[in-house]
Amino acid sequence: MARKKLETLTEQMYYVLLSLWAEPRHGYGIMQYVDTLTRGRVAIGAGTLYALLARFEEEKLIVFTGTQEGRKYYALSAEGRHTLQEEYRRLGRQLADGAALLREEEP
Amino acid sequence: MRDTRWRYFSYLNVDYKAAQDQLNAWAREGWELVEVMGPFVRLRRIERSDTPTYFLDWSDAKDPKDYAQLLSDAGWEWVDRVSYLNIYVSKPDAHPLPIQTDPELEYQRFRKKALRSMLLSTLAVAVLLAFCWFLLSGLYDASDAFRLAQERLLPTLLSSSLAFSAVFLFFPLWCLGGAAYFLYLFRRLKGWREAVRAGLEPPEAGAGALKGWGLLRALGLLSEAVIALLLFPDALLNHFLNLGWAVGIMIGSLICIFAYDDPIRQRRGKRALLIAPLAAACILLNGPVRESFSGRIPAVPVHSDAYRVSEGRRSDTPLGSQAHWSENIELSASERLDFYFSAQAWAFPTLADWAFGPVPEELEPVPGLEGVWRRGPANEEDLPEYTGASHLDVYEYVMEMRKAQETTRGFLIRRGTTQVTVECYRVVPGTTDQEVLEPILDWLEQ
Repeated sequence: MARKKLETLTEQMYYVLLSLWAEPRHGYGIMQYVDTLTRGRVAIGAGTLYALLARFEEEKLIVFTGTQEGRKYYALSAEGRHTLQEEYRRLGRQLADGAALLREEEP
Repeated sequence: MRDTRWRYFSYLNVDYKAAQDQLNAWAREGWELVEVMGPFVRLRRIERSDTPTYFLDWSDAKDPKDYAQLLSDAGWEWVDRVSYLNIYVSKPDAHPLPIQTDPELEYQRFRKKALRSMLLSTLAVAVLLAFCWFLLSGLYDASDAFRLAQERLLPTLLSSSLAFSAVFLFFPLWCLGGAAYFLYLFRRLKGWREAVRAGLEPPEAGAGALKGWGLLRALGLLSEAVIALLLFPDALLNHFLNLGWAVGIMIGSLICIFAYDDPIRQRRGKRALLIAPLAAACILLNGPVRESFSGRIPAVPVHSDAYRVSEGRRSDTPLGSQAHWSENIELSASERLDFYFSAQAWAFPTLADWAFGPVPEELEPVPGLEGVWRRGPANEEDLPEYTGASHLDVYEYVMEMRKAQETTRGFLIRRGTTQVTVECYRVVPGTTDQEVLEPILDWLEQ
């Protein structure tokens, strides 16, 4: 579910999908994984995460896989994997473009 | 028992950040929230080692249990709800992230929910306005073949129930307040949207605006409480409520307690369970209380020699009063007179004139008696045809047919702000109108 206006994911959206790449997780597990992965740089509040998961599920980027101990688990769908990979490539192109220009100017 | 205190706490939903700031300010002073009651909150001294943090969040999760679990895992505990907003407090030593960390998402979510609740409110008001139009249009006409006076729905309701009278008086104020709130909400949402797009914090309402709108909300809550409280004197004094209401409250409260997981609904259900017996007691005491309260309409019977008096309905409100009853007088072993009375009395002459309406054209003034009109037997073409199937239909038909007989007379009497209609049956031929009316006019002078 890219934002139709810019066809990109916000940083929080990107990291939520990224956290589901390797294995299904529940909501708080996603919050903890993102916090660890980014060393606290990206903070996703519980309410924001809940809203994002609801939208991702509606747009079929993630699927509900089951409940354990009262916690719902989610995994990336095929479309979700594709969207994440597209976003990764887009960010990579941005990084490459920046590197080509900015590294020349580095002292 | 820890120190507790009550504080005034009234904010519109759109000003929830200011409400959140106030709770956090109290927390820094050493007070934590216990519960919300109307426009007030109960606080108590904090005993935990850290300072709690509060967050207000719109309560609309599709899976509330799942959302509650996520918030609990994240370090938030639910405390109470105020209007559409849940109040959460940080768990001891948890220091959780704010519940909402995406300003644009937060704005979009609030906007969607606020506009939806506005739409629902507008629909509710539209339905009420349609009902008001129906009441004021006079479409309801309870007059029968005798046509002594027209019984209109709105005056009937205003003189039947204290609670309804209060709703009628408050309704225009609610509409005005609601319209003003909608304009304020649109303005605040616009400012919020511009701030989000510019990457800035949402603008805060000024202290004056917060106080003013908070007061408006508090007055709205107070008006609702007044109407709820008026149901008790209605049950004690008037015939607007019956035991079915108390039974309904009890069933509703049991459903709230046992069928819902929502703590707010359960709390309201428990409170209603306490109120239901009180409502039932008021309804059961209606008889003795009603007898001891005279009201605007003089006490019955009109005829001191009446051997049977059936009092159908009697009610008093600050705006008006009404009463319906019948009296039977035994003239001899084989003769009796039957009277059916219907009386209205109003607080002001203007109100009385509006409620009474014009005297029906078919009535004739009684010579020598000011403010008294009569009708003789009903015309044959005005009598209904029998179409019923039950014994009640037969009874009503017989009553209508009796109105056609020569021994039947009807009177409309107006004295100041009081109107009485009288249907008299089995009048002895030769009895003058003055003889029939004299005890009634004396009774009205009381």
